[in-house]
Amino acid sequence: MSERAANNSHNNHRDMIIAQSVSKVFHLGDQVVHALDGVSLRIPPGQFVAIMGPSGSGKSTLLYLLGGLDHASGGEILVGGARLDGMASDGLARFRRETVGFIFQAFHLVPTMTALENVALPGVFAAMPRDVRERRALALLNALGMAPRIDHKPPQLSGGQQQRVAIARALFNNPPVIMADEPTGALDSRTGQTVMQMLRALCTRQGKTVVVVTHDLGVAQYADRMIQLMDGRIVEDKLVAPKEKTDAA
Amino acid sequence: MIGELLPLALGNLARARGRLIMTAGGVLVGTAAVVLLIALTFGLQRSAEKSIGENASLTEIDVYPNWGREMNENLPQLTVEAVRQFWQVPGVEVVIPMVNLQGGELLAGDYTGWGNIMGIDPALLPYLGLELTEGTLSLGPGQGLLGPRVGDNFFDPSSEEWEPVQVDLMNTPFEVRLFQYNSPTPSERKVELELTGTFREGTSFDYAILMPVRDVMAWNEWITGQEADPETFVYDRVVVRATSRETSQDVSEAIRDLGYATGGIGDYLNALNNFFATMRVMLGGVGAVALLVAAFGVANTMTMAILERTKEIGLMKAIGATDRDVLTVFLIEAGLVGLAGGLAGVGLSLFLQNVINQAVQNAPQGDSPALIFLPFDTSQIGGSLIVIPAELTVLAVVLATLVGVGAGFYPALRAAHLPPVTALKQE
Repeated sequence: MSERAANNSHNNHRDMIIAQSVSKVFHLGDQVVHALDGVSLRIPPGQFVAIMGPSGSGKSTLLYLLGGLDHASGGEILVGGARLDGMASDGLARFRRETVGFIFQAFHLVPTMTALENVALPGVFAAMPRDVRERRALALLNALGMAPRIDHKPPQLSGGQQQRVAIARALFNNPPVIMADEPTGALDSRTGQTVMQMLRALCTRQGKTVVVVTHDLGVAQYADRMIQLMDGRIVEDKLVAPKEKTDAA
Repeated sequence: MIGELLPLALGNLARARGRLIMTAGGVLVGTAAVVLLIALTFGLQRSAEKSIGENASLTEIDVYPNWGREMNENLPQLTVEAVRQFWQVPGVEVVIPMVNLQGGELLAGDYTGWGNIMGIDPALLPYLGLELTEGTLSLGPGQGLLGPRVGDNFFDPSSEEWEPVQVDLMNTPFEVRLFQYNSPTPSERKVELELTGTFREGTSFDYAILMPVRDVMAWNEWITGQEADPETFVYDRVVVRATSRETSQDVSEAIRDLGYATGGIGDYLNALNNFFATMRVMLGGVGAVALLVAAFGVANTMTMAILERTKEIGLMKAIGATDRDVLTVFLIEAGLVGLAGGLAGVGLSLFLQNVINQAVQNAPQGDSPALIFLPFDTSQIGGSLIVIPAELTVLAVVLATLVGVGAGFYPALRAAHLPPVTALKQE
């Protein structure tokens, strides 16, 4: 099963994400916790991967390592050709700005900013002129059906609307990789499905590489590939026929 | 980059207005303390200067041979060459050499008196800063300008009592009697002197009569029986005037470096300025303590704000903000708190300046207990005990902003170095 996934990735000329013997160790007082213990995986461009596992299995930790939000304790990580382990913080910031768009369970919108300003925020750190970034944010919100709400602040938006704003923000710098940590965790199931369909469409239509961490099997069904983690190790890695893949395409 | 981050920082500040106002309030008090205390020293200094003398004499430096240092035959003297050297000193506006009459007696009608007759180049008269109470400021041959107190020193030679008599010299026939001491046949000679004007009291020439230097030198030659030799000739007094108050200290120093001693009102004033500069540093230091306390307030507020917004910091980093971006955002916020406090503090200072000066102006002279401690005549204050120069307001605002940035630096640095994951997971 993991053979199949690996073979599949080797068919592509270059993998988008490569992790080799990645480990992550936390020190909690005297205790040493191995959150990740020698994880290796390859993800080809345009693949929709669901990382699953019970809480504490290390799935979020793996996502943050792949996204350059945290440093690995050991192993090698290459994303989009960039070697993340050992990269300095400025380089990681640039990597996150250019290569990855993040979506979080708690949305993480800035409460004092409007939907438009939240989406345009990555442009601030990319030193993009105000009119350019607002035009781009407007186009993204429009594409996600949020045009009537651009001047609303997050507290005035429903959970599903907030997550759409967050997706628009993740797409702002047009990154090749989208990473989502429990993107439907704070949403009801119907809204959750809409969000997953959006992510599926990003993969299918725009060829984005999507990595979603979830413990919800229903969510994982949108993926091309499911990776099961347990106690910091990959216990299962299989390709699946994604639900509504044909619908979205 | 800062232009892009500024609206972000402004939005953040608008979130916690109450806390912002209180923190900026601390900076306000600190800034006002610094400004008012320093402004007080400016006010006192100005008042002290006013009570010393007229503005014109403040740049005046008296130059003497440095008698006190050592007995030395090569001690630099006020020669023609020395005067030439003084002209070369940077910051010198004019050098006024003077020659005293070697001996003589003043005769006014039936009375006789003493006064210091000094010869000066009439062309340099305007540089002495003399104001006339009567007559005209000009000196021709045989003419003299009268010091206002010369008339106080006359007496009646025929009287038994040595009683000073006040003489109105301008309206009394005036002569000078010269004695030839050294000659084997002592002789004397009377010269008529036409007084063209009297100058205002309060200069170093109150007891002097100014005359053209040629007349005085000619009389001295008659008195001593010797012709003046340009090689050995020595002036009795040299007044150097600096171009401005600011340069007068440098000029004094340069002349001392040439081996002369300096004095006079300008030099005294320099000592006074040094005193006030010290006072300014001390009082400014007291005010700075208040500003230091405010700095801790800013640091505390920034620490709080960063704790509250830890997730947001994680988010900013997740979407591509560098450590430097995060640092900049928080430093702008801290700087703006300082700036707001500084502006308000300067505003308060300007307001209090009016209130205090008004109160001083209206205070009954002499018996105001609050003003007894002042080391000079309070009537000289003239309504400006607090003087806030424009530079001070600018400096205070800049200082307050820097205090804000400085106080915010450590919290901001900590925020900038937060690992994104830790920040995002913060509960």
